[in-house]
Amino acid sequence: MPEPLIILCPARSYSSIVCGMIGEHPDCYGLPELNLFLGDPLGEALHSFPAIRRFIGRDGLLRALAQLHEGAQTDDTVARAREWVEQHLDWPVRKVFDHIQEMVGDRILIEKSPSTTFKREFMERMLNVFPRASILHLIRHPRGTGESVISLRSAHQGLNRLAGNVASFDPEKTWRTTHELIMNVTENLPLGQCMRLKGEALLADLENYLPQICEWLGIRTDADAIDAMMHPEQSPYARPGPPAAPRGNDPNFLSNPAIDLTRLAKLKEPSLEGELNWRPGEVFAPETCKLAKQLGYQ
Amino acid sequence: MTVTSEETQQAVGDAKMLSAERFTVIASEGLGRKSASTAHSMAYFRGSLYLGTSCGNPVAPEDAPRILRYDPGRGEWQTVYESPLVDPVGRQLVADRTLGKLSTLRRSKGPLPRHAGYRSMCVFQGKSDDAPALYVSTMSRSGASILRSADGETFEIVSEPGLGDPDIYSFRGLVALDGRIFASAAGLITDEYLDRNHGREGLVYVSDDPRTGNWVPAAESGFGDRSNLAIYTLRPAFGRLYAGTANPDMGFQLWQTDARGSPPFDWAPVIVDGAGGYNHNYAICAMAEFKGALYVGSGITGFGYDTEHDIGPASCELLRVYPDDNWDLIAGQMRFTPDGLKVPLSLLGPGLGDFYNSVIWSLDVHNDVLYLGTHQWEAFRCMQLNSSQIVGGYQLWASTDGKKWTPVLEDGRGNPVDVGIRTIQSTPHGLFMGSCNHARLFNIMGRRRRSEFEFPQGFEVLLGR
Repeated sequence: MPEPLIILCPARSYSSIVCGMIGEHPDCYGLPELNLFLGDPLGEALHSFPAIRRFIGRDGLLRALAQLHEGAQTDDTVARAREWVEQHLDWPVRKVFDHIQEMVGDRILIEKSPSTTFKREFMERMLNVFPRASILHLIRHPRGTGESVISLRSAHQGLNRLAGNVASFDPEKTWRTTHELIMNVTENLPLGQCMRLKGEALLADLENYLPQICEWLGIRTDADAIDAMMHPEQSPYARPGPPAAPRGNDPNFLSNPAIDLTRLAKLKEPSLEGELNWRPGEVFAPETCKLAKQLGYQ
Repeated sequence: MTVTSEETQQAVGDAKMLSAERFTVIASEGLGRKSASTAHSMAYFRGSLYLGTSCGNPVAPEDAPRILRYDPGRGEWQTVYESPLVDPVGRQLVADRTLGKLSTLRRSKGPLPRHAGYRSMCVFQGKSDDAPALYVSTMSRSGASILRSADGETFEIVSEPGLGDPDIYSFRGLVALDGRIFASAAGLITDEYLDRNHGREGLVYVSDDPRTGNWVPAAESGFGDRSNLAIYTLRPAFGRLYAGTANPDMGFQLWQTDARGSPPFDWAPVIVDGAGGYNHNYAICAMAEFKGALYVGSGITGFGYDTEHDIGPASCELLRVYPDDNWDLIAGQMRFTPDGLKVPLSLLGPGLGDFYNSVIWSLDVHNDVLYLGTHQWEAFRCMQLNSSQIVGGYQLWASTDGKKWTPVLEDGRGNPVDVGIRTIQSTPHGLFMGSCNHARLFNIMGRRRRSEFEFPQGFEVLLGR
């Protein structure tokens, strides 16, 4: 069976659309957010870190199991997926992935749960479970990421209450610490196992970058395959799930999963200079600018 | 078993490649001047090798750098030029930005060398030269000068300080192309500080008659990009001139011109954004044309970390660029780029697989083999970590096809503070290689940590044949 592709990034880094696109390649299978690296076995993954779990839910896992077990995501199939989960809490996380892989066949699983990057131990667990996984370190300008975080929080009061005034949830700090952690954990992997990609560059030039991703993964680069990748909305997870499991991905992606090439063509990288709109009167810290420049932002 | 032509070529190439045993030391401990830390520049002129030395921080008359001549037939060295001395006033006394207070320690109260070294050399025949002459650039707090020698015995200054701007500390990359000689400004001397690497702007000059001191700008400052703080490397290839910049914002840029018409010439970018490595590919530090491609080595100033711009630590990368501007990554971080997926063809990662190789400092072709010298700073890291053993030192690599690389010399040949191969020069007598030795700095830093080190001081020159 092929090794999975794990996308690592902080939240609001285009991971949903990127996972959606790669997942539509005929040789791949894009998953919703499974959030399975919080613990091991499955029961621990689902019950450890309750604060985080409350935040991320388990809709993605339930939707994936419902879809793969029964070919549909309804309240009934989700209920049976939930029963399946309760019956398999002792399964190692790897076995759960193997179970999913078995149903998907020899396609590459694409996984993108932002929770994997919440703690070093989650990332290390991921690498223990899949030591040879392909890893895509997806990056986005810290200003774009921060503004997107704030915008999402404004639109979803629950998130806003959760983040509240907790300084560690400041988007700038989260951006910096998450990327530092990803770079730290992946720096000694074999050449080419972990690849970094600017989300803005990818989205502004899909014709150039999508074939490169395929080449890296060793999968087809023909026009049909690339065309399929241009339609993330075809994914069974690219819409809200049934009432029993409505989420499992970025809410914006779930409501609007199609690629808007006109909008993407206008995508511009913001600047590191200037006031932060979520911390009026303040600018990016020098250490944030240092890391951002290292990653290719100005 | 059938032997393919590729395998045959490989075997022939491997036989041409110099192995470690074929190198002999022809100069050591700075040729009698231990403060001569670096064999900085070389040229082959009138049947002899010319070597420009430098001292990282000249604080006494005996630190004066020299131009030395090596007679391959007799195996003898001779000093043909030595820096004059000047009174220690004004800019002679300001601190080196990188070294800080270390640069003012042990300074003599008497005269000091006017020059700190000879950074670049080129054999060139300008309009007023009867025959090819040797041109040399100085590193000087009085403003960089161009020296000229017609006979290799006597040297004359043939330029105004800094070519009219006495704040320019030195010139890199003296190179000749189609009846013109080029130079790029390196470093800045002000009333407050010395910066040995960066000036106020990235300037390239050109002259068709350097004997008369007539130089003009060959390009717009920084090629129109203010973040190009300096032009670190100039090299002709494919009948054009290539220039590699240092850029702390987005990483090096590579530019080229056919240098036709009157200067300033039309230049075009070949690679930007540090080839997708951004500012960890801080500067282009060495280039050489080999078998239809230009090999480009990157690096970062300092010990893998540019303190002035807070960049790094980072390791070097090697690329090759074709005449049509397409390029391959030879050694470095595999990545997605606007120019396609770049996989290191040598299968070597950043630093040629060694994190402490921070600069590809020299590249030259000898007998159909491409040689590459690194700057490797592991010894300083060992000291920081209080390691019981100090390891590290320069590496020399070689390749017959540009793709498969073989380490020839490692670990500074036993001296971990021989940190770099600063210059490589192919001659009919063999391949000369000059080192950079940081024993003096290392020992001072060690004493501050109450550790005593006694590594051999002064540059070495090796001859491979």
